[in-house]
Amino acid sequence: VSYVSFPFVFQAIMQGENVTKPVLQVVNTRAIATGTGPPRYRVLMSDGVNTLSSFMLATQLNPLVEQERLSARCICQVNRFIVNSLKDGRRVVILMDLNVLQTADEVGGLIGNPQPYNEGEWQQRPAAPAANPAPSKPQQQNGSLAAAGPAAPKYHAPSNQFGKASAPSAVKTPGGSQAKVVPIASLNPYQSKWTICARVTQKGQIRTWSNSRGEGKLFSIELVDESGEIRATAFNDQADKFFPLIELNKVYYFTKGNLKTANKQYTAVKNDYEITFTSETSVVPCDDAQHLPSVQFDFVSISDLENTPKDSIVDVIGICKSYEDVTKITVKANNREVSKRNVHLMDTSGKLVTATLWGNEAEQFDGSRQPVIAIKGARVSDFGGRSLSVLSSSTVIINPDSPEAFKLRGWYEFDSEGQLLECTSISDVRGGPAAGANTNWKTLFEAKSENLGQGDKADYFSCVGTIVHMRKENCMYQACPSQDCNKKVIDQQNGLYRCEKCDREFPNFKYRLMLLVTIADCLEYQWVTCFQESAEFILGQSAAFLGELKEKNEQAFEEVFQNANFNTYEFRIRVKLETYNDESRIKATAMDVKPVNYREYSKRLIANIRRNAQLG
Amino acid sequence: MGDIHEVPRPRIGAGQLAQHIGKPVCFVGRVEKIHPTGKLFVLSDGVGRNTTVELSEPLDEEISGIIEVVGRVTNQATIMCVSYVQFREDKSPFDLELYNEALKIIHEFPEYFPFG
Repeated sequence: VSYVSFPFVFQAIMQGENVTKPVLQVVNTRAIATGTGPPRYRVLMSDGVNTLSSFMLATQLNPLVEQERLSARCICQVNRFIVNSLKDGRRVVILMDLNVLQTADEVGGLIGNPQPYNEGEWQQRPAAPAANPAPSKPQQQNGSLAAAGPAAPKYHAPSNQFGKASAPSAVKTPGGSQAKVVPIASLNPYQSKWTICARVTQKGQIRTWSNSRGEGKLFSIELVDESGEIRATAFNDQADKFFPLIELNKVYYFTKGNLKTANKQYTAVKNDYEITFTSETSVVPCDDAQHLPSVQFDFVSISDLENTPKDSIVDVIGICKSYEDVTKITVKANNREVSKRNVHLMDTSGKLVTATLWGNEAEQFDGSRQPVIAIKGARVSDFGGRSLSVLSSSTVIINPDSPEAFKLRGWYEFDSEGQLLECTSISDVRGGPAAGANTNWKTLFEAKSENLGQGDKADYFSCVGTIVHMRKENCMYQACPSQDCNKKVIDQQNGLYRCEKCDREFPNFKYRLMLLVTIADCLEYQWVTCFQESAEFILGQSAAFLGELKEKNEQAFEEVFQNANFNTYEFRIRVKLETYNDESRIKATAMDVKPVNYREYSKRLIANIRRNAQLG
Repeated sequence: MGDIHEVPRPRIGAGQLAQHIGKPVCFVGRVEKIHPTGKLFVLSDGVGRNTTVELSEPLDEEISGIIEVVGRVTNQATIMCVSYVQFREDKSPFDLELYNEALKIIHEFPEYFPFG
């Protein structure tokens, strides 16, 4: 069986023409050590007429050599390749994807008598594709060395293999000089002048550090083009310069930077190298970039998070059903104040998860109108069951322009299930203090019949209840005036009050409320102790003012209680079995009292009614 | 018609006007248009249906937003308004769609929500 050789294919490849999946024979492979990274394989290829050694195997194909599938004499079809120009003008062909059509054993030997290809020699190219005469060493072979694809071995007009990324294309940089755009996959430390055209798929926050060697700041981004991805970091001045300019999901021309071996510990990006911006780096917006892939998310459903091991990094998307106010906490380690905010996300699985935002993101967050939030790279924690923490390397997008976001919004707004769904939070297993509006709602009847509070730990639940009685007598006590101490002081009867806990005497005290309230709903009632904040909210007056009223104006004091009676609120209640003098009793405390959110309450009621109706 | 406040007046949605012709009802909707004579206005129910409300005397004030009308359903399935109340939405907006959901329920379970 004769074969059709394919002369001039090397010339075509080297000149950046699109060659459809050339079939070549491997003459030899050679490993090149690279120090810390995986070895790189250099391949000597033959097209039947010439040999060319300018081929480098992309590292993801290393296993082909190591498993001896790609070895001397085998025939392979190159599906994807990139031509890279070195500083000295030489060209290197990076093999990105190839199939071994016939292994070395099957082929037997070198086909033809190929001569080393000399790039300098420009050979006469026939106008029509050449169907060469049989080689000097005809051999019986099962296959034939021919171009794959369409039957006629022709040079094709630029195919769709790469779009624009394969052949170096020119781009005008601000300086007016033309630079060639190269693919990300071809970047290596041996080139300092390069330009890539890439989309920013992740942008981290600015992080600062301060240690014995000095201090500084940095931020990192991830870039993607059709050939691959790479991480880039800007430090100090470059961080200041580029952080405001570079936007997530936009495409830019990046020119010149340092390439070094990637520290795989910090990133999951698939590239042996990563970029560090230098003072020579330039970043220019690129307008014509529709062909570049956009931010890749790999969303996990919120209910699946329950089975996700803690510390995993995940992408999630959900409707922000509710969110809390931003709070400031002090990090003990460096005594710095940091802002934080919890937001609650829900998806079609009906499960709700709490995600914590930090810093600027927490401060600037606007959760009005229940936006869709997508988070890339959040860390799963086991706080309260399962929660999410947004890291500096995570990306948070509000109302992203993506099909998943539209689907979620559609489900939430139009599918009646969306808004009425009684979602359970996976972040609230034990129900901590004053959580968002989606913790476990119970009626007082359910709380009693389910024996909440009778285990060894306290139970928490929320309910809507109406105040039907308050104990006015002994609703206040005299407490230690110190900032953080609320212990009852002993009246020494000499104008001084003693606090046992602080071991001090004071000339004064502060009034603190401890109000025993009976709340009721349609089926049950419950005694609940309300401390300072809750009591002040219910009574609508401060403890200090009430103390004065009690002493000076009994009638006004009574009126406060009358006005407070028969009001309905949302209570967050903590119940626990307490033993006192051999007697065990369930004690209920109000952790938080809030006005009823009637919309949410109605939705819950409607959902419950529908559910109960279905149960028959 | 002055006795309309002494009798039960079920809350209905636009789809139930036909079943309540001649009867007193309570209807909630959002003001869409007011006729220049002030004797007629149109309320929407938030899910695309409009209902016409007629008055015996023209309006003497601007109305807008959510209104609750008590009146009798006419043969033309409009409502002859006896009295109305404007809902205040300054503290929190009124969720008309949720109201429609609630309406469905009270009519599905008349044994739990009897009228009179």
